[in-house]
Amino acid sequence: MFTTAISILLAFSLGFNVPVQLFQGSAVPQELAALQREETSDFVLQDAPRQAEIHAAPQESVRLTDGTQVHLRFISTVASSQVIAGEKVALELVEPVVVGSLVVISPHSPAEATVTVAQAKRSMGRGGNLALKVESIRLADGETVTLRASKDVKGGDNQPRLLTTLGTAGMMYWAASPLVFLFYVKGKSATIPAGTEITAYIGGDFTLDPSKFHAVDASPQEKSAPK
Amino acid sequence: MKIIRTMCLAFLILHSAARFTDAQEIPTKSPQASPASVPEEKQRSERETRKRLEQLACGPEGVHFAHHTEKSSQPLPEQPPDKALIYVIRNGSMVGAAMRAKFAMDGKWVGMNRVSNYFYFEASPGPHYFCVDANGHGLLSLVVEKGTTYYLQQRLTMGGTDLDLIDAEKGKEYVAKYHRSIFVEKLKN
Repeated sequence: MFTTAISILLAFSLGFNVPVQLFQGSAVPQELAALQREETSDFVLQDAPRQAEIHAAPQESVRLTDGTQVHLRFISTVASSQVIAGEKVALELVEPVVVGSLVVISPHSPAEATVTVAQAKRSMGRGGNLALKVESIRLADGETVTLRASKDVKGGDNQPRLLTTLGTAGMMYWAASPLVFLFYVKGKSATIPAGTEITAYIGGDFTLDPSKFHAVDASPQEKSAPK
Repeated sequence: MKIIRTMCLAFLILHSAARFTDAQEIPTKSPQASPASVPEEKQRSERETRKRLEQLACGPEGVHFAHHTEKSSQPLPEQPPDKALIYVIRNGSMVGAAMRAKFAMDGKWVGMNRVSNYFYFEASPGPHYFCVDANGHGLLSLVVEKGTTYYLQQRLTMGGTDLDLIDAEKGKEYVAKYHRSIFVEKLKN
């Protein structure tokens, strides 16, 4: 009786397990394998012409050479009395930089300069000092390249105003001695007005991937293309 | 009495005139400013910038130095290749001659000069903030580069205290002519 019960249980368990093993072990993986093969073959098929093209006509690399001119513009006014050395100042590209037929740096691309000397207006009518070092610009593909340029500005001295005011004050009031007024006259801060343009130079040679840049005449064609 | 009253009146007039002159010197916005000049509004004012720089540059109050001038000729240091060498020079002007001009970098007093003195120290490359304290604060911020020598001049004038970056030629001339300042920070009792 006991043996029969065991046998029945074994039979049942084997009977239920076989489909499960089939399901787990062979049937589905075959389907999946087939799907995977299809996908792989599709991928290979899709990619094959592209790879063939690449192998057939290798693209020439674009080279952005050292010393290439880059025309930049200050976005906002920079005053020596309102910045501290080490701070960054924003600039933007004025004219696109073109290598061959590709626009490597688009107009209005952001560039950065670092304040290297900042001195506010000084006493005795002497002006301030401001020096900046242009450091980098972003290419059309998002990469950043180094630039070489610097700009030094000296604030104007206030001597003419000092002398005029002293003269006027002296005529108006005898006690307005030049010495007293001298205490208060300060020079002017060195200022770079917004919109000031400077020329920077690419610092080093850079090899670029041409597939990441568009051609110079791409946008006019797009505009003129029929919708 | 009348003379004193007149002098006071003159002083007030001049003070007002000077304030007016300062007010005229707000940086003018260029008419050709690009549309992206909106960040201008977010710029710090002159006063805020000066306050910020004072916080970064000047040392704490209550620090004093014991000082003497080394009259004998001193050997000058070699320029370290990985650091900047900074000379701090005070010229021979007699304006404020009795005052000691303390000098701080990055919020720490590092030395002091009397008239016709200089001292030097090394600084790591990068931005640094300098402060001279005599008759008011003179401030300067500078990005220094390794392997370079900088000459800073403390100037005490009737109008205040300035700290100037001077050219190497002038700086060398002053260092050759003036005497080295020797100082030790006085310990608090």
